[in-house]
Amino acid sequence: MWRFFLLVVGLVGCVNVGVERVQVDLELQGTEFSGAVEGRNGAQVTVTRAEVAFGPLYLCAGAQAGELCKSSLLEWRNSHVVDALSDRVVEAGRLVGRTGTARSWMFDFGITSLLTQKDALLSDAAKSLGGVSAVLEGTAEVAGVTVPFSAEVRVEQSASAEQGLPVVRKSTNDVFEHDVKDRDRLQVQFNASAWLTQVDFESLLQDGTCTAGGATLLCDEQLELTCVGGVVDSQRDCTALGLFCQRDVGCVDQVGFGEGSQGYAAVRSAMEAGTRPDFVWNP
Amino acid sequence: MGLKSNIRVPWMAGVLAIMTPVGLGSAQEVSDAVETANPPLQPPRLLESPPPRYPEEHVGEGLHPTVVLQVTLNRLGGVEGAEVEHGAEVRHQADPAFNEAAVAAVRRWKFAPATRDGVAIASRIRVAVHFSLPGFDLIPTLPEVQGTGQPWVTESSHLRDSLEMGEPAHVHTGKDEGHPHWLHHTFGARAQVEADALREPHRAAGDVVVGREVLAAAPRREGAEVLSSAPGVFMARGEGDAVGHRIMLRGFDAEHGQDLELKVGGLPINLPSHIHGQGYADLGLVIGEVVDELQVKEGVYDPIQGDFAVAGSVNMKLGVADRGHGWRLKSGVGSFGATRQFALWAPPDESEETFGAVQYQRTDGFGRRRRGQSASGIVQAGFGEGAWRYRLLGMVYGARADLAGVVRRDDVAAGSVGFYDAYDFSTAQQQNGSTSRVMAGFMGEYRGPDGDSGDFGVWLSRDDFRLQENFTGFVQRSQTLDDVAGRGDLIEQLNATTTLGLWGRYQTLDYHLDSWFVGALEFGMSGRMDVVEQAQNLIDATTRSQTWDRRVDAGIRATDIGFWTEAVVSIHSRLDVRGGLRADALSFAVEDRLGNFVPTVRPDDAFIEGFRRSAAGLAWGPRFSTAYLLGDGVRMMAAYGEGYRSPQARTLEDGEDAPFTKVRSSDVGLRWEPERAFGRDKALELNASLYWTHVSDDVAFEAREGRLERLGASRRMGATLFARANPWEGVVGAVSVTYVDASLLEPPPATPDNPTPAFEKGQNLPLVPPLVVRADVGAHQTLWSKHPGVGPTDGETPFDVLDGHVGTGFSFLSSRPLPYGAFADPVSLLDLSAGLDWGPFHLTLEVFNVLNARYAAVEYNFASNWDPSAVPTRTPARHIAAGAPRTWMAVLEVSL
Repeated sequence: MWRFFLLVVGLVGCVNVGVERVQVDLELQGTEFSGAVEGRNGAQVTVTRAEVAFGPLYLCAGAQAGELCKSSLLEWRNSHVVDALSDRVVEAGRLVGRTGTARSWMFDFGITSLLTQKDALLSDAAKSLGGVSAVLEGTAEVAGVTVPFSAEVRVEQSASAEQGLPVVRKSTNDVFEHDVKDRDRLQVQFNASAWLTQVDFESLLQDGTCTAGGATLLCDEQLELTCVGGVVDSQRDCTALGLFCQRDVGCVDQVGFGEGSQGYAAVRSAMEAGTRPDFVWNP
Repeated sequence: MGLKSNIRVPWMAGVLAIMTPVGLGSAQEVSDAVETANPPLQPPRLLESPPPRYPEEHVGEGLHPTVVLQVTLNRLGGVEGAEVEHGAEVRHQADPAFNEAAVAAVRRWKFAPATRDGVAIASRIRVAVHFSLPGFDLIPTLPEVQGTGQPWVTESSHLRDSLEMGEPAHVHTGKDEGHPHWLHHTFGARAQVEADALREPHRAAGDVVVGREVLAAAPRREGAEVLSSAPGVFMARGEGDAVGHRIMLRGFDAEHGQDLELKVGGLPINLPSHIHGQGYADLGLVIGEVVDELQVKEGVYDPIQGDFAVAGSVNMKLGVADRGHGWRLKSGVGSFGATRQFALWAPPDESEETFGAVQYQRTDGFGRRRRGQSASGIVQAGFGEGAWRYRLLGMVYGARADLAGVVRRDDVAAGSVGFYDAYDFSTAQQQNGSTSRVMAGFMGEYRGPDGDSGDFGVWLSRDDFRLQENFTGFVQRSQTLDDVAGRGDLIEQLNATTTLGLWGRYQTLDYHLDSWFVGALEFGMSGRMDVVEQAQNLIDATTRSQTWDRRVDAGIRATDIGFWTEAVVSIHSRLDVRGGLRADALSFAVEDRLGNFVPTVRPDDAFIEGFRRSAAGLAWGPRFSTAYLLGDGVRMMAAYGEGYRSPQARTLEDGEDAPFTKVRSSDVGLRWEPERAFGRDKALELNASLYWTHVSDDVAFEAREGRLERLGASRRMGATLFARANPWEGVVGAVSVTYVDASLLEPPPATPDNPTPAFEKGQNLPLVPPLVVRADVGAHQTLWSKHPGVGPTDGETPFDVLDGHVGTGFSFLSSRPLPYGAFADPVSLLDLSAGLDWGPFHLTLEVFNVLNARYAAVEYNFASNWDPSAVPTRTPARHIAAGAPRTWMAVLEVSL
């Protein structure tokens, strides 16, 4: 009887359930650029600061993440600020989940929409960036003018029908499939420069004409014109001040992409649906 | 026995016992004696009467002898001695074989002792044992017991334990020479004792009949838990006291009954197409004190087994053997504000199956949201004379309980919620369930004078069910209302089922083709029509339970008509073969009132919601079983059968050939029940079986919708050991060990969520425990007697004897795989009881989960989000519904 019991206990220990619980190391990496990238209208964009809040991240077994990913294969619910200009690999933590084939992903840039409340949740990473998803700074060379810029971008879920879902998801064009094993390493590589390629820096430099009822601050080359009643009342040379003239704003030390601006929308759109980070699996 | 129940002695069908006064005159004299003496005496009553073994050497000779015995009973009702007063004669010659068989049988009988002034006393009775083939014969005349002038039979003898007490016939005032000095009283009575079961209870080695003595051995929290004494069964209430138990049986996670055909008193309990799970069965209506035995069929080898008999079937036979003085009142109080009140009326002069019982119980619960109360009543009456015997059964049950729901193990580990607590959110705090059911049945049994038999039943049932339960926290969004989400996944399930059913069966006379070959045919049918109304909604607990989404609103009409036939053959009285076929025609009409509803995206549809459809199908399969007698009480048994589970009607398309879940089951094993062991009769039973089961379409619990979803084909292989022993007087024990290797045979169905579910050959089924162990042990003993060493004496009061009893039940459930690669913790539970019996008073202390094990009554692994203000988690996590910690209950019983 005792031998039978031992046999049974041994057999019980041989349970095979097909899947195993796994942990996958998550590594984050930026892309180091020594030069500039070409932006819209031939602008040469050089990014000098790109800090990005990243997380949470979900990997799904289905080909389409989002509402169809009711149960994720792996998840990492933390956040981390990524220096997107550094190619130094940073260990951010571990994805936890189970074995299986990962076919899609979805993540947030530090600002997470919750199903249960209207206001999105700021991650620690986003908080450290001042409540935004990314802080980008750099310069753009446009028509011989150097335009310093900075952008503080919030990337968050805005579609009410998708409340509670991560905002960035793998598109059908993205190639992503991997059989997950324990102790795999997943590296997420960001290319922040690419997010700025659709910013229309040239439009920031467009000259204006002083007209009645028009803007009060205009640019003429690098001269800042102050209009009063359709007549130029005063002017100053931005270049001489070490500044540059931004359309409708006047002399500024750098362009700030405010919410509603083309630059803001372009960067946000690029982060949300444009250039995707690369997902690289390492054994 | 024989063609009906006993492989070893296929011709022996039963016994007739008539207890008469010893040395008495006519019935009139009996009456006179009573009036003269007017003694406050109550004669003994027959409690159990296993039938005698028909002597093998006379098999096939067509003999129907009667043996009259004088039987001496001690004050505990035990048989002290049995002497042949009038032996059997075969061809005008005394034949000891029948005499020995009769004496051996009567020694196994159990009686409630005779009493005088309520004090148990020793007594002597006359018993006539009649042998017949293959069932109980009607006694066509009223012959006279030789030398007594007393007619010893007045009616047919096929009634189960229906001892009909005669008037006390004679009271000796002095010592009875030749007997111990305490043997003062003899009684006259006529008895009708148990015939064989109408149908063979043991088709396969895994089939077990668990008797009252085992069921009463261990303490039970509630009546339904008697089911846990069936081999391979583990049961737990994970969803409060108003939702049915989750039952695991022999490698099946039968959920609430999807894989287990359950009957109480012969009435089917499973509910088809129930919103909470196919075959939902709530055994809360069961009152443990009136369950006489469990008739367990593991596997599907008997053509009488119908829908949901996938892992097997269990019938709880109702009856009250220990009838006492007619009334039993119990009152119990226990930990966590638990109380139980129970009353039983079982008139002593009626058959065992006649009784009325009612119970009420409530508890404040062992943690938050665990308060509940329930009440149930069962009334049954057996009546009828001659070949026909009838039974009326009515059951009513109602319960309402708060529900703690599930908690995530990681939350428990993090300390954000207690193991026995519920989440603080309104959507968790408003979980509850309520249910009610009423059932009534009229049944009849026929035992023809020549051995043919039949039975029928007509029954009616109404069940109402409502549940508010949240498994997943906050992950749902409304499919009906735009931009509405995250109000809490409090699922409301409503189900009302009205059922009318009937069955009938007839087994022909035995056909004797030769002396070594006997056969019979059986035909049967069953039918039921279920009218189901059901709905499932999401409700917002924060705003007066507003409905914020509709998921199901449907009406179902389901009809199941089953037919079967079976041939029964016995060869050389050693080999029994049964083979038959069962077919069930099922039809469904579904009014899916949300059919064609397009969620939110197309608000201006050009049609009215609704999708009405109908479907039908035929499920059929063979059932075979065979048994071969190897030696003294050892039988080798093999069986194969095919059964089915009906589909959830809402999943059917119009005109679809209803896709039944097909189960193929086989079983080989040995069964050993020696005539004598441990120096006593029928004191040992051992069953060992190997089994294999293939299920075409298994299902598993899906938390998001709170119901069962398809899983795929599966296969189970395993072994079961069952042992019952009565090694010492007053000690009974039973133990079962069930091992199973349960595997998926094909990948689970693809879903958008998981288009290629992980699958490996031999992958184990989730939720199935590989090992289940159960042990029940009970013992009783006289602790103190005013007259030690002798029986009661004149003038003794009921309080001159103190008896004690102890009992224990142990359940072990091994670690079991959960979906998505997790494992549930093993469960070990030990229950103990101890009590004193002093006259009409019985005081018992029951302690459950003595070791205070912290265990999960049920455990799941699925994705949920119970922290609505944090980054949501989407990976599956272990969830538990806590089982009860150590609890106790003190019970005082008074027999009136």
